[in-house]
Amino acid sequence: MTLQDLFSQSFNLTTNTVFFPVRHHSPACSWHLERVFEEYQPDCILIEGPEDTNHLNPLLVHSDTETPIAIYYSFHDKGGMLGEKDKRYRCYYPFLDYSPELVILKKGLEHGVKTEFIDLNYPNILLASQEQKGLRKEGRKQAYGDEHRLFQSHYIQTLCEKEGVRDFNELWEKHYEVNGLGKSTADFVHSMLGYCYYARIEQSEESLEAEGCLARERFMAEKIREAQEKYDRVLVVTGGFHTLGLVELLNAKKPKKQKVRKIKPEEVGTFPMAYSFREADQVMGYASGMPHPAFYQKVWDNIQSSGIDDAYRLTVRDYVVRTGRAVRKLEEPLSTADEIEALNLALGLRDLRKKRDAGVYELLDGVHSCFIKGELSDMNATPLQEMGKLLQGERFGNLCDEAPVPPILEDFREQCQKLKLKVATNNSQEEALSIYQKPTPT
Amino acid sequence: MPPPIAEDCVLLHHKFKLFQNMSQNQHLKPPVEVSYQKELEALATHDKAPKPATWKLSPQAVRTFILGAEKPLVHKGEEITISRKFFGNDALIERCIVTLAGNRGLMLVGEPGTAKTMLSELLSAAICGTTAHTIQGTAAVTEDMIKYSWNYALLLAKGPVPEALVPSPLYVGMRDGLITRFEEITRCPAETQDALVSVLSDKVMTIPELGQEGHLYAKAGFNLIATANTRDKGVNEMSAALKRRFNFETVRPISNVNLEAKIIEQESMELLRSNGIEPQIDTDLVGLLATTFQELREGVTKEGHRVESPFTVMSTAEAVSVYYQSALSAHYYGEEAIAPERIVENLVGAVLKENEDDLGRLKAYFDVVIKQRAISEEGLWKKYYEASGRLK
Repeated sequence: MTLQDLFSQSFNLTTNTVFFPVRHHSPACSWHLERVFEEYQPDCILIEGPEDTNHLNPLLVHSDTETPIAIYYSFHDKGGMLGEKDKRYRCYYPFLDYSPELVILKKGLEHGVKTEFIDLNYPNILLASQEQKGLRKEGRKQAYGDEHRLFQSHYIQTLCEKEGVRDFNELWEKHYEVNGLGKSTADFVHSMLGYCYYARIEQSEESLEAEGCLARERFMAEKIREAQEKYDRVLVVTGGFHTLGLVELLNAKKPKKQKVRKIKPEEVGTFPMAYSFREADQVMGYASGMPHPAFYQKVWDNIQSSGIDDAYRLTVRDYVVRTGRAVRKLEEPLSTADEIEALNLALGLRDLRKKRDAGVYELLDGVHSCFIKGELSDMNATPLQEMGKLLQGERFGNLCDEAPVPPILEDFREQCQKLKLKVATNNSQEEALSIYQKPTPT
Repeated sequence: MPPPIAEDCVLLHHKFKLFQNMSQNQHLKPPVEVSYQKELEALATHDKAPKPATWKLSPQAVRTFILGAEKPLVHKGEEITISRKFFGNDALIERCIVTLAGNRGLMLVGEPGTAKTMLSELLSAAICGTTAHTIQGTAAVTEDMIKYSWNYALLLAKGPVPEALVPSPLYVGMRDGLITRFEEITRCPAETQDALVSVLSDKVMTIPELGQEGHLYAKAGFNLIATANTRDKGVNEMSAALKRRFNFETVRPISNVNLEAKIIEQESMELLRSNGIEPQIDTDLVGLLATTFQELREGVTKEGHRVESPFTVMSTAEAVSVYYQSALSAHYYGEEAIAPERIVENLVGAVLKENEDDLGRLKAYFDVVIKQRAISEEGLWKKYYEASGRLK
């Protein structure tokens, strides 16, 4: 199938099924997805996510719930169906305000549209993956929507060199996040598909099967087929890497069915949990999601309040000022003049690099040249360190009151409250305990 | 007279060619705007992008000049390849270009031999077509060398008239809207450096002797590129007021062995050519040399073992020098190829500059690291280790 075929078959708003390819946690994808929802008016929305956590959806989209949040998924393999008895497995599915999945989940449920996750559940993904492949890789935190394949392909390095960017994330930000906001939705989807298509075609069937990718697509394709029989306008939102696989499966006359093993309910635990920017950054970092969550949160907030034309410039300006203030608090000399120059440099680089607007890389460059006086070394890198903290952010999420809390967590929180210990933070705290104080009468 | 023997003819011809080349390249080192004249002209012809003030090329074209282009440009019927002239950090180049188009000066800092001067020349040549307006910073620099001085004969004859004023490179840059270069700015006494503060902030130079007309306002397009060597006097002694007038860019040594080998190759080829010698680069030997320099500079071998770095700076420029000297020796002393002994001899010259203990460090490197590699990898590494017997 050519790229053009893929595009015309997957993204035609007059047909009964529209595929929207996303990168997880991408503001540009979320923004365009909202436009597609308005235009297509689907009566069914199917999202890449564990199909056995749909009961948690109302909690995720609740108006009192604040991101960052995540679905925590644990599996206790008592019987050893994965090879080792009693082994425990876990993974996280983070959601931020600008995650396309959360955005469309909210939109769908708000408008009373049938909206659900349709991916294989976690234990079955593990079953379908070979040892040490995909979600079965050990030694790091696992994210459900792992998309490392999008930036490990061979032609990425050459592409980066040709584009004059430093790494994949800069390439992505330039063409998809920053420039993508200025494109029409059709153009955006076309270029998204283009990227995912070329990343996909160089992967072998064997490696895709070994990572459980094809198993998931077979399962999702079946779900899509079921929905197509009941609904007139089905919107499918998945990682862009899967779009080609899904379309081909749906075109096949006798598609292979995915065997699903029944898992004992007591071996599985799914919980919504409050998450933090730092944890999301780390998890996404391993799965190589977009770094700098607080920066893109600000971009998203600015898109909502000021529109797409000013969002990035305002965010860069905001960060220049906040970094300046953070550095001054540490009593290092930095003036408003330095901030003006940093912003000027960022905007000048935007023009030289022919980007639609200045993004996080221009911000980093501006602060690098204008805030650091002297040879860059560990001793005078404070501005970059402070900015790094601000780009990651300190935000903690909050679940609504109706969310089920595991008893042990409830007890822990109560104890902390009693002892006046702060828990909503990533930083290590020091508490002086008043052990000599007479107990206050309760 | 007996007819000349064939060998004599070849030798005569070679000597003649050498002489011809040397008289053509009369300058030891032509300025960048002359060496790359064709490239700059080709870029200017094809440059449709907007240019700031007096710039000869647009920022995009300056970038292409320094970082190279894939496809050659056609200029006056000839295909001109725009070569890559700076390796290792493209974003640095972009920041430099944007800085020079803005309000602040550009300060390039770093260890010796990291191509700061070369970069300042490339930027200057591309932006304003000349690298001539340069102030060389030394401990003896005085304020009149930075600003202006007088033709004393005319001064005495006619008094302080504009014709009697002898402009400094800074003065010319401001007057004509060009780039002024200030090499080794931190070697100047701090008081002299501070003469720049008012020039850079208000972009005006006062000449009290000329009375009412004694103000030179910088023309748009003027900017300053300064370099500072952090091994000698760092920028620590520079006044905060002056630091504020610059954007700082740290130029780092190359961290990629293959890249360093490529640079040694390219630079050596150019040096040999300008000497009239047709270069035949021994890439294995270059690789060896690049590895040596990387490992001694970083203090860690490619196998991950720690080594003690020499006190002296092991820069890429030094590595080029070692190869070039070795190639020259081989050429003039009639050797077929560069022997590893030559490299070792010239290496000593590069390393033993400041600290006697550095010779010991170099010996230790050979006795431990190279010896091990000679055993495990043999071949050229073995010859290299055997050549280290020369280290006395």
